[in-house]
Amino acid sequence: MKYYVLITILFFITYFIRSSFIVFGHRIHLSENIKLGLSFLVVSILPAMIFPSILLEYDSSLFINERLVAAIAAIVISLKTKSIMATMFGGFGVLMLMHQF
Amino acid sequence: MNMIFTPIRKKTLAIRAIKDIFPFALSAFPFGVVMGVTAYGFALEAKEFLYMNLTINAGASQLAFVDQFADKINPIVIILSCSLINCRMFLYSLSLQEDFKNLSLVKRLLASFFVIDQTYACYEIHKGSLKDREEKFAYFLTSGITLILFWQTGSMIGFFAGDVLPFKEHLDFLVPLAFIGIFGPKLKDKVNLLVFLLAVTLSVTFYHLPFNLGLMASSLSAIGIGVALKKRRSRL
Repeated sequence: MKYYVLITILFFITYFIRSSFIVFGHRIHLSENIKLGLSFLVVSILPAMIFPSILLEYDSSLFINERLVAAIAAIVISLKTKSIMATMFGGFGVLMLMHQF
Repeated sequence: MNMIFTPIRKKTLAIRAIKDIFPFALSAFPFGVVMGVTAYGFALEAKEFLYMNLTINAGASQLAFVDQFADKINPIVIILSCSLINCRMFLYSLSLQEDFKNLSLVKRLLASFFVIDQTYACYEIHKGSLKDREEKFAYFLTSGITLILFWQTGSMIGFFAGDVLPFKEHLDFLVPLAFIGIFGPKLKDKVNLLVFLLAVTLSVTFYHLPFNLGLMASSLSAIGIGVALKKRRSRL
């Protein structure tokens, strides 16, 4: 029972966060500074989500941080191809290749 | 009737949305598998897991929830930490409000449910080619539903059959790779590159802050410096 109560509370909070500005803040006029700031959202929040675990949570018994090498390879592939699929499969391929050695 | 938004255009738009979200959905699938395997490992019942998946629908906070719930952490701390993990969605919501502000309340409520990292990222890349708010809504909704179907399927497979999947210890890496596919091409711009490097450095520095506060602190700091640099550049 406690599980369901907690999940329900968390659902309402998460839904409130998601809907906050879309539902309740739709009359707010965004300043140019905020619009400019939001244009950096993708290059700031996504790397901040993924890199700490890549850099800090790797298997230290290995000679090299395989995921970091694969992530760098993926960035290069992404810059060259601009394709998400090529980035995913290229990066994953590098990880698998490194894992073989 | 809006002449631009004909049934044929609707169908084409839906196919485009599915096509565009597909790489993200493909990466959400193994993340769902990881979620399912973790939930099974913590001895959740199938109905408990399904309820969590259908309501919260946010992988990172669900993983944190399962972990803390199993450790019998204080419920207030669980709620607080999981909510803080999802705080980035405030920023997505803020970013989307301009595009969705003239939609009906029901549509805004519906769109809100699909504010997810992947749907937001996919929408941001492709919104320039969408004509009006109705198209934007339809595109966002279709991509959101597609993503959730992949995520749910992955979760259920992970829960019931996670042990038999190949490379399962590496599959979770597809999510970061998909994210790299989104922001990678933007790194050609010098200011973007600097914001990226700052966000990475600060997120590692703040990694051990409680309640995952490091994510918001590093992102907002990097954004602030990016704004200052861009404005300084435009003045020169």
